[in-house]
Amino acid sequence: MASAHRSDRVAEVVPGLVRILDRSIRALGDQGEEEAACQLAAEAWALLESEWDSEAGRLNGTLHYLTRQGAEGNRGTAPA
Amino acid sequence: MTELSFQSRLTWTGGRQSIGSVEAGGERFQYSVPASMGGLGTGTNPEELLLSAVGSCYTATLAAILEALQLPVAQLQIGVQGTVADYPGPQARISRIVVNPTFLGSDVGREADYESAARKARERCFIGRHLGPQTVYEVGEVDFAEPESESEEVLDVRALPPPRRHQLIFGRLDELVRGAAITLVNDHDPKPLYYQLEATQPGHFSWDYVEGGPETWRVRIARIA
Repeated sequence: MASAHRSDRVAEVVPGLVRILDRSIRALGDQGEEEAACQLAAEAWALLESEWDSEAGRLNGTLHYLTRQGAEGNRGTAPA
Repeated sequence: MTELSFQSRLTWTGGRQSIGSVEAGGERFQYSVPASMGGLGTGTNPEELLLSAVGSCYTATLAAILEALQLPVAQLQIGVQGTVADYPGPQARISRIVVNPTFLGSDVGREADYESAARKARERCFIGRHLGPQTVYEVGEVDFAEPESESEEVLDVRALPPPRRHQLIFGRLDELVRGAAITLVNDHDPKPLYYQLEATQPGHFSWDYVEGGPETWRVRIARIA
């Protein structure tokens, strides 16, 4: 009974934690720490990708956001 | 037990200084007596055909052994060297046949296993077993090399919906043997994939931009471990 309850809670908690993680990692990237943010997002994605499709997809989106931001930042500072 | 039957068809018109043809497996080859033996030297010759028969059997046997031992290889290249001794004269014979296998895209660190497989293939080679005692048949130098770059695959995912791209790319990368590479073509920077590979298989792939946008990105990804 207790384990069934815990399983239900995991199904609720994991998506919520991933949303928080997503926001945290994006914030880290926005502070100029794109490399660390990308590594964290990819590590979290690797933990989720086999069983948590939707959450892994969210972190894949995070990675795309971060790498796009990084590229735009680099273009902005590149010499003309 | 059953009997199997094989055929080839040969034609020859004229004397020793002539050209014949071999038809086998739907292919047709010209052949003649080799120039070194006083013939025309046109096309192949019986000596090379014997080496090819031994070499082709050896290669297929080796491939089967590698498969059974789960030793990956992108391609096998086999050189076969034959020696005719005591020519000319009644004692002339093919005295030696040496096969020299090269493994392209093999699993580095298991060289001893590949060399053992190379020697086992010589023992099991069906055609080689029909050589008489006057012919030494042996494995020479065993080499290892990177796969040839011209055989590298270009994986263009631009026309695919994004969810399918991911599955396809990871599937192909999983199949790459050590040393093999693909060039990924995408309509945005595939950098997320770089981080995902590092997270799941750190240090297993190299990542080199061939083209860096703004419309098209090409990245050469090679398995290095």
